[in-house]
Order: sequence, then structure tokens, then C-alpha cells
Amino acid sequence: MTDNSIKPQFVIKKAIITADGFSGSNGIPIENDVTAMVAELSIFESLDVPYLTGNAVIMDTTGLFSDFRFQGTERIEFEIGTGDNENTTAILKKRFIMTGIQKKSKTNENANSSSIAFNMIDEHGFLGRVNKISKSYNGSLETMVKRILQNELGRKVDISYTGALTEFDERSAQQDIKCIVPNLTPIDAVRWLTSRITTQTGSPYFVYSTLVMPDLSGNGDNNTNTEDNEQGCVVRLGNLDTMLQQLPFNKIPYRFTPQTTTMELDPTTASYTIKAINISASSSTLELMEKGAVMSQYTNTDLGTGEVFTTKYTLNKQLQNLRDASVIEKDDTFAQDILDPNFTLNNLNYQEYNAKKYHTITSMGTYGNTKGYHDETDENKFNLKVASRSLFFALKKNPISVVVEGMTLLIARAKVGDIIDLDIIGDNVNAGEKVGQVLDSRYSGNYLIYDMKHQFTSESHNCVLQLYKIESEEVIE
Amino acid sequence: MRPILSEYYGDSTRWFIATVVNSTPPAGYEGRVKIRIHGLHSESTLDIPEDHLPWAQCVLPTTEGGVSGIGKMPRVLPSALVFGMFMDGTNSQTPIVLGSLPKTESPSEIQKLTMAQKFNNNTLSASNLSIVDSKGVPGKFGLQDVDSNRVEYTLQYFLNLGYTYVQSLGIAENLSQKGMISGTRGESLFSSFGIAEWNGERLKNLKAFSNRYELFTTQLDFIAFELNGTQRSANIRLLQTEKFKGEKGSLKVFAKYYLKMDIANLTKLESQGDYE
Repeated sequence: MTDNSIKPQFVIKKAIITADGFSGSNGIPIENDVTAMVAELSIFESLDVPYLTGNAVIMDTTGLFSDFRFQGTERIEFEIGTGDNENTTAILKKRFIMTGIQKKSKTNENANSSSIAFNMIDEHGFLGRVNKISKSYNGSLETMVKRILQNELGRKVDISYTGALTEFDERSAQQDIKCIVPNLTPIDAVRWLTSRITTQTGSPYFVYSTLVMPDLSGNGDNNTNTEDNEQGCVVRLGNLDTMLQQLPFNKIPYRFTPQTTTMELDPTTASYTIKAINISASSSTLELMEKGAVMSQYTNTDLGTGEVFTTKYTLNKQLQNLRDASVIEKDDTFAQDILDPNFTLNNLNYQEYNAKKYHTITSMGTYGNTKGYHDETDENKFNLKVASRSLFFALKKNPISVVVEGMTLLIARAKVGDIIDLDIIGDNVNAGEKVGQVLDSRYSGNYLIYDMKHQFTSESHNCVLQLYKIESEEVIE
Repeated sequence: MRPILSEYYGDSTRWFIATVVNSTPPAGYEGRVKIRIHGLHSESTLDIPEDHLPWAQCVLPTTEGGVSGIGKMPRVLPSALVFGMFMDGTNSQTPIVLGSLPKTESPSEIQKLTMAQKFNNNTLSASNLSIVDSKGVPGKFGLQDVDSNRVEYTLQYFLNLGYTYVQSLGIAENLSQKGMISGTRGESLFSSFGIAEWNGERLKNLKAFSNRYELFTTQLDFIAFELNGTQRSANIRLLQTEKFKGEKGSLKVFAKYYLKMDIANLTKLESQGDYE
């Protein structure tokens, strides 16, 4: 006999809260099992944040949290499994520190139960915000980032998204430097150092965190890093070039089909359905220009020699460099979708203007024979500082937000920094028989996953993805 | 925080106070001093070895040439306190020094211990001075309050003015033998008065110095006032002393040139003290 009942998409197999100050007589923290009380769970990944954060809503019907004397330093550990059967192995284990109560509301007329929403953060995220570093570092910027994460936060760093082929392979354009972290938290310090790293083409680096997702395909390449597995997150260092050069994780494009419900679709198609789509403020070239991301002038005065170096930056040239390096437009059918290179203003091409005139000061020799944080021995590399910042803004010019089924992403091990392929139906009511088949070339295609929010709610698991892209498929007449 | 904080570098500045740790830069780095910035650079050389500290450029007056090879060099010394600005704001990697801050240095705990062992730590232990009034409130001095530890107070007073331990000791010991401890404050038979037994024109100057000239602390102020004025030659000689005893020691120099004691008294002076 087959079981025709609708299976939940996920099962929270375990949710345990412990507090260091709430121990038994043997000194071991008492485990408070709240598995049955978890109503909602959200976990956030972002390319901008080197740790995971989250929210959990717990229905307290037993006065547990009053007895517990919640202080905002408790730990909660989740185990999540697929909803195929009750004995499924956990596919996701995650430990957070609960940092505070976001909201508490009474849930029934008798006012004897409450829903409590908690904020949560990774342990290394907590530690990385309550400590300060005033230390000197010597070497490459990538090495410094890895040393801070390792020595200050106890986390190893995955560098596979930098394009590195070996553990010690470094692809950044900057050479070795000497610098002193000026009394920053470890989290701020790694962000500060990462913001200085670029690829040879000027693309920015990101230090970020993703969930640990075991390989369910059976290939057996599970993450063997003990710290990652204990905390349920991987700290990664990656660059935009490597991310954009990837193939999409999904061979079947996600498709937005509002006229049908997922119940009417076959299981595979339903798994790759976009449940909701939102395109917020976008396409403003003026805003991009005002930020200095399109054309700007960069000047540096070296106090050590008194020399003044000036260079001109244009986004168009940088996109050309990305094209030459096969980062974008690998296929002739794609073209950059950031700006119109022929745009003129007052009979002058836009590139003739300077929306920003950056001027900085360096002093070669401040750190002896080694370069400092700002220094460049090759003056042309000064441009990379502007390039990195510009590409960061340009990437965000065309955002799109979609909601898709989360379990498909988990099984595919998709995370921020990966590429996703979308099919968006074009706007053409006169398409006749082809209605629903003609794709919108502007919004369809490959996107970079920048932010990801896992939402586990009432036995469903959805993911809200914030996506960006630089290139679109060209319309062939 | 990103490498470029603002469009124009002058919009993001940050000032600092630092201690100079090395003022003799290697060739090619002339005009720079190596500094450890208070509040940003850890004091621990394990965190930031001296080798990793920045060589900050120094701003010189516009009366200097300002081009390579012309003009004077900065003259600040190691341990000098300097004020400066970061040219890169909160990135705080490019410091320049605008000037130095004169300061009165006091001996470190190790230096105090060394000196106490070198001299007699039973009689003159200024480092252990407990300055409290008769009600136990620190920092408030009245005539009665300082009577009990006038030697220590005098020693600390001149140390605070920048005199060396030896020089301060020479002053304090002389004044103690002038009857400072016994508290003679009234005018004596010989019309001399006060802790230094002033008389004549100098006594008149003391009375003109302050209406509260009878106070012990006022009289100490007057000694300092005289050393920088009418008794400047005594002061110069005192500042040149590097030892306590002997002809050129602070004990005899202060007695001879400030207190104007005669030769016979000077000979007895060293044998009367309990500093041996």
C-alpha cells in the first residue's frame, strides 16, 4: 500500500537550548529540549557577512523561558532532516548563540502561552564582535584574513571560491604588505582587509559564511573540517571573477509560472518553480555614476616622494577587461547589461566626464621596505581600488529577488556565491500561441546568489534569494 | 571601512598621540620617527614588534627648505610624546607627526626601586609617600597635614618639577637640617625665617610673594620661584649635579649656592645627615 499523504518538506529533528550558567550538579549544562516548540526558523547567508545569523520563533506553553532566566547568551542547536520518513538522517546541523528576544507575544485568550522570536548568530560572529585587535601583520592580504579568522575566531577558511588550486595558492593582485590592524574587531578587521583585495581584473573579494551541507548525491565529499561541522557553517573567501565564471548549479532553470500551482506540475518541475518574484529599484545609471562607479578620476599623492599620480577609471574599460579574461560574455550571445557605452551628454560621451575625483594620500616608506595597506609599487594598480568598489556597485544595479523551494537548494548544496539560472516569461500579451514560452531576455539567465534566507515554516522550506547579474542574453533579431 | 573612505582625503582625518620609539631612521627615511600610537597600537611587542611600527613623517616649520637635502631634521628623541594626524582617516596606516608635547617624566616603578636601593630607602622613600590630610582625604594639604612627612613631601615636590632624584634629595636634605622637620616657622633671634631660614631682602621677597608666606607649601613654592629667578645661578649649578655627596654633589651645591652656607657648615653637613 502506498502512502499518499503529503510529506513535510523538512523535519526539525532536534532543537536543544543550553546555557553555561544553567548547569546540573555535575557542572554539565542542562539541555532544554524545545524541538516540539519551534514554530519558525530562518537562517541568513550573505556575501557581505562572514557569519550566519538567524531568527527562531518558539511557542512557549510551559513557562520554560521564565524559569530559564534568558540572558541572550544561550546556545541553541538544530538538527534538520528531509521529510521522507521519520528516521531520516539529519542533513543539516546548526548551532547558534541566541542574542536576544526580538519580540514576545501572547498567543491565546487565556494569555498562558507566548510566541517568542529570537535573534541568533554564529558563535564566531559573536566572538568576532566583542573583541578588539591591535596587531601587526606581514604577508599577503589573503594570508592576513586567514590568520585572523584562524587565530582570533578559531575558524579555518575555505578558499575554493578564489580560484585557488592548492591550499597556499593566492590569486589576488596585491603583493605582500605590512599593516597594523587599528584596534578593530576581528570581524571588522577581516572585512577591512578583504575590501583591499582584488583580482587582477579589479573584481572584489568577499569573506562570507554558508551552511554546511552534506553531499546527498552519494559522492561522499562531506566537509571534514571539524569546526565547520560543529558550528554548521563554512567561512569562505572568494572573488567575483571565480563566482561569475561558474556554471549554474541548476541544470533545469527555475521558472516563474504564476498561472499554475505547484500541485499541477510534475515533481521535478515543481522543484524548480519560482514561487514569487520581486524586482525592486533598479537600472539607475545616474545613481551608479553619482557613486563614481562608471567614470571617475583617481589621484594619489605620495608624501614620501612628493609625486602625484593621476589615472582615469571607466567601468566600460573594466567590463572589457572582464570580457578579455572570460569572466563575462564567454558566449557571444551574452553582453554586459550595466550601461550603454554610447550614451552622450552635451555632445560628449559619458566617459569624458568624472563623476568623482578621488584623491588619496600614501607615504611609501612608512613601513620600511615593505608596502603599507594603501601603497602600490606599480602605480597602475591604484586603479584597482576604484575598480573593486565600482564593480561592487555595478553588480547591484540590476537586482531581483525570488522565492524558491529550499529543499532543492539544500540537496543541490547551493549557497551564496553560486550561480542560478532563471527563466522569466517575457511581457508580451500579443505573443499568440507562444504566450508563456517567450522568455524575457533581460531578466532570464544566470544570476549570482548574493543573499539567501532559509525559511522553515509550518513544514515548508522556502528560500528567499537576492540575485544580481552583470550580463544578459542578447536579443537576436 | 574601505580603502577609499572619502572622495577627498582631507574629509577623513583622525588625530593621535604617540610615543617615539626610534628617532634615528635608516638612510632613505630621513625626517621620519618610528612611533607607537596610544590607543591604536598595542603596547605589547608580541602584538606589534618595534620593527612593524610605522616610520611617520614629521611636519617641520615653513622656515625650513622642505626639499630633499635642504633644511633641518626633526630632533625629537625616543620616549618623546608627539601629536599627529592620520592622512587616511580611520584606516590609520599613514601617520604624520605635527609636533611634540613637552612633558614631565617621573621615574618608573623600576627606576624608583633602583634609586631607593641606591640611596637610603628607610629615610627618603618618596615613592611610598602617602599624601593625605588629617581626615584621611587625599590631595588636600594644610600646614598641619604636611608636618609629619615634610621631607618626603619636599622630595616629591621637586621631583614633580622635573629635578632628578639626586637633585631633589639635595634640596630636601638641606631643608631638613635647617629645622624643617621640627617645624620652626617663627622668626628666630637672628631675624631669619622659614624652612630655608631666609632673612634680609630675601625674607622681604618671601613676604611679598604671598600673604600665606607662613605656610610650608608656600615656602616650597617660593624656593622654586627663587631658583627660576633671583637664584638662577644656584639652579643652573644644581641642575648640573649628578651625584648626591661630594664637592659637586647636590647636597653641597644647594647649601653653598642657594642657602649661602659658609665653608665650615658645609664640612659638617654630610656627617649630620642620616642618608648614609
